[in-house]
Amino acid sequence: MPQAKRYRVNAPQVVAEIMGGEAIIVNLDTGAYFSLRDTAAAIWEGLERGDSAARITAALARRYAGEPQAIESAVHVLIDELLRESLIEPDDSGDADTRVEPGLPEAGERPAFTRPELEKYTDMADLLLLDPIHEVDDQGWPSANAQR
Amino acid sequence: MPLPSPLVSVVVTCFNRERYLGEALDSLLAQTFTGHEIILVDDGSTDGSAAVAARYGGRLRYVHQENRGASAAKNAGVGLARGRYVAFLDSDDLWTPDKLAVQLAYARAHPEADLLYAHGRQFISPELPETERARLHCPVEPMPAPISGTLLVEGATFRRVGPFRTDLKVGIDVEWHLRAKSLGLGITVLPETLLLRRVHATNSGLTEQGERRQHARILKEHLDRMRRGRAGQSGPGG
Repeated sequence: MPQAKRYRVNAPQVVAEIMGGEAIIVNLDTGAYFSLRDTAAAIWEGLERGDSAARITAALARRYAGEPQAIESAVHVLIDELLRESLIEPDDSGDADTRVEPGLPEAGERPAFTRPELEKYTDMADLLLLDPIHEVDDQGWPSANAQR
Repeated sequence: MPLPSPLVSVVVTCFNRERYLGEALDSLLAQTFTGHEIILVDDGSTDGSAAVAARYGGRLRYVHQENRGASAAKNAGVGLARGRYVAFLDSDDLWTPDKLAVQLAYARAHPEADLLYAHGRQFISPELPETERARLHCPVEPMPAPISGTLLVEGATFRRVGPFRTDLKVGIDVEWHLRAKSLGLGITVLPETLLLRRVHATNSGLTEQGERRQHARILKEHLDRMRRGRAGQSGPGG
């Protein structure tokens, strides 16, 4: 995986939102949804911004106490998992992200780096697979309300 | 003399669906079980929906309200329901003739089943031109459909879960189902296909990304609830 590669969210079938430090990602094609917390949420934020793996690794190394190599490898493992679940895709539309700012670690005591985890849930697949096509409507519900 | 109470109140909600409403109502009147009332909540339609409803005369209760959205319309219908059970049908979908009969038979034999759902099959609305049909995604196999269109639930149980959320535009059924689940209610999805869901030009999911993100918010609430439940279970004193 080239270090400078950028990724993008696999929209529109994947929707994501970060709330209270947790990223919830829904794959409307499969009905699976995912939770990313802590370091995993930080990596997702970086990916959404278009940061490369190298840039994300550098940012985590500033923020957390941990072996840079362990952080780098964890970032790649998570990116691989996100690709496997079709939540992100390589973004070849622009330039590679060569900005890497190693910088100084953040002042004060940094939290220990914990392995980022992708939590996968499939308990709502039946509903999510049926849901999106039905309740939103260009002419009837609910756009009529939205126009008010 | 007051009418005898129906066993089931079917709430049909409608906003500008003159094209499909008649077929939906016909599918309710073709039920093999006949002890049901039909409550049609017209959510401020400006097309010929009211005229379609008028054709059915006293066979349904027609209520017109200012446009407030699908959830508000369903909640209003439940408020008028006189039956022990409530069920819902969107005005573009159809029930199979045995929908109520199959579910009521199961409910009688399985009183522990609080929420009864069924399978649903999707179909492309026949009037669509070929070019439009090719663009639409429509699985032909029946799918488990734990959504309001297959739901049969006692009114008292519905009220325990609470009304449909009126602040959501997508994921309304998902959110309601998750609330029911968090109460530990018995949920059954019957293997029979009892709902036919119409796929047409105006529901193809070409929605704003911002609206679709509501799914993520609903699921976050669900995960938080589950985690709180687990924390409560493992807390001091068990």
